[in-house]
Amino acid sequence: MKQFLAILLIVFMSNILFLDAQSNDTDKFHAEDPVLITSSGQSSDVLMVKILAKKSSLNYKLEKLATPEMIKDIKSLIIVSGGSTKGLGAAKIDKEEEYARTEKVINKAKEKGIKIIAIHVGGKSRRGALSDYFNKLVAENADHIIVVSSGNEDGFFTNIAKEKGIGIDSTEKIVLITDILKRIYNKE
Amino acid sequence: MIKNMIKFMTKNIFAILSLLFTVVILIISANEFLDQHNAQPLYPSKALTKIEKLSKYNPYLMGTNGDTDIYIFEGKEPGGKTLILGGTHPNEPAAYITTYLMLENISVSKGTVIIIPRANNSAFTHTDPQEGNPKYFHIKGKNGLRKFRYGSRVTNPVDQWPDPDIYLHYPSGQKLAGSETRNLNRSYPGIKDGTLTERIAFAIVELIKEAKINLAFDLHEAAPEYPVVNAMVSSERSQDIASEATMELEFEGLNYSLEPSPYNFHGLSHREWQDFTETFPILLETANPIQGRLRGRTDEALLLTGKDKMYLKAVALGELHVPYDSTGIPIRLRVGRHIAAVTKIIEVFSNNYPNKAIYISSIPTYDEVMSFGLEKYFN
Repeated sequence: MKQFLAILLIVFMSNILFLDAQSNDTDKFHAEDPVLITSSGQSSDVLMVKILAKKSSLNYKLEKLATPEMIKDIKSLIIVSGGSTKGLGAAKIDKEEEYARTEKVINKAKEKGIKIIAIHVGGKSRRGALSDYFNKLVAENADHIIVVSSGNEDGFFTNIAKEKGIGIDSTEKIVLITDILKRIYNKE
Repeated sequence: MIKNMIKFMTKNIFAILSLLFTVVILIISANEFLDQHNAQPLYPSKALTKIEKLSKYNPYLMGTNGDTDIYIFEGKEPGGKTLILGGTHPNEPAAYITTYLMLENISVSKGTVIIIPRANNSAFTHTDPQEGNPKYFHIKGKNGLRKFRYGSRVTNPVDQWPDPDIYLHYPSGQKLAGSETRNLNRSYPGIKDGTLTERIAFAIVELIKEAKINLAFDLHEAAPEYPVVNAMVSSERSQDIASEATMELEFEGLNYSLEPSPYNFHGLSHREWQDFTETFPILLETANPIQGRLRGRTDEALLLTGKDKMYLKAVALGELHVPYDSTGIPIRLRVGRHIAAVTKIIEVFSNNYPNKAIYISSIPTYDEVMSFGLEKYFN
């Protein structure tokens, strides 16, 4: 009987843990606007996130090349990661300069206690050496990660989230990120 | 006299036969060579309003191989105007096959659709040397087999020669390799009386300005190992439209990499249309193995199916920027992607700018093209 109860307890606890792991991390994580949206890697994915922010009724400002000085009068920071050679070329910067800029912006936000949300919407095409250079930096320093699942098939973002104890939301389609943003920012 | 002639012929039979053989070869070659100049017929839909010549927008093109047809489809209701270019690079077949298919099926109820299926007509009249590309490919139509040209990336040197050592782009002064002087997509905004390629570029820009084109597409293909592939390139003006369309297409199962138009790379359609006109420029790329450096046997089958064992090896090594498996990347998929993107962008543009809306119909969807093939939609 004792053995049976012990097994029952283990099954019960496992279910609770499993349910917790499957639950939407957004339920726990909240942020406030105004929010500054910037890029890390200068891909045009940041423009999609701008539209998602608009559809989610966020009070946002987009600065593709945000500087630490711009981390003022905001309550959260969204960094859209993913490298683009065309984008870096258009911005007339190299990947090292972009990395350094991102690092400075992150440090300033952390210093001011501003929540950082990492978003990766580019799927497979925003993975690989150049993109992951930025993806890693941004994800590791975020308070929350939102990722489109096609960009996380190898568990790149999930592993970072697990390792650093960061909440993560995964979605199948980019447009569904509006639901996540609405919940995070209480815009429902 | 006859006796002497017979004697002469008998004595020189080998030389005479060689001469005759050479003449036959010359005739066959000349015919094949000249046949490259014959544009295959297109059968516009009933919605066609008129056909203009590109030389209307730059008289310096008149009588040259750079002149080409412009197909204009006007809806009953006034609205916005869109321009769709195929054949900027005639070695990128899905781009111009998309425009052929659109102009043979389209119906327009509001606004105007303008299609230039052979933007660089001269480049259709030759092939890229040392590539071993097929000269033609065939697609079944409702009324039989259709034959289509597979051309070159650049203007025929017969029409524009010689290339300079260094191509200085006008007006930026940007330096590129000499052969790029014959690349239409390095020649915008063009020069009225410049090289043939610059004249074509100038005429297209004039058309965009004169016709007040709201939304302009330049359709392309690229090698699967090229980083900007399965991509949508937009300029500052068109980036919001492109972003929204990319998300909607992704929701429907078609992934596009959204890319910005570089400020500092001149001569490209999207860059110079942004800077020299008021249109919303969009460039679309699909992945085409026959253009790749990693390809194996180069023939019509590769062009149509996109199946190549070398690309299977490349994808296994993680060297490709697009999904690739043993089903290849067939032309119907590439055309289907272009059609899906063009129609989606027009729809998004129309929703955002209702006073400039363009309503088109009768164009097959991506799923229809994938299910029934191109055959069902060609005459």
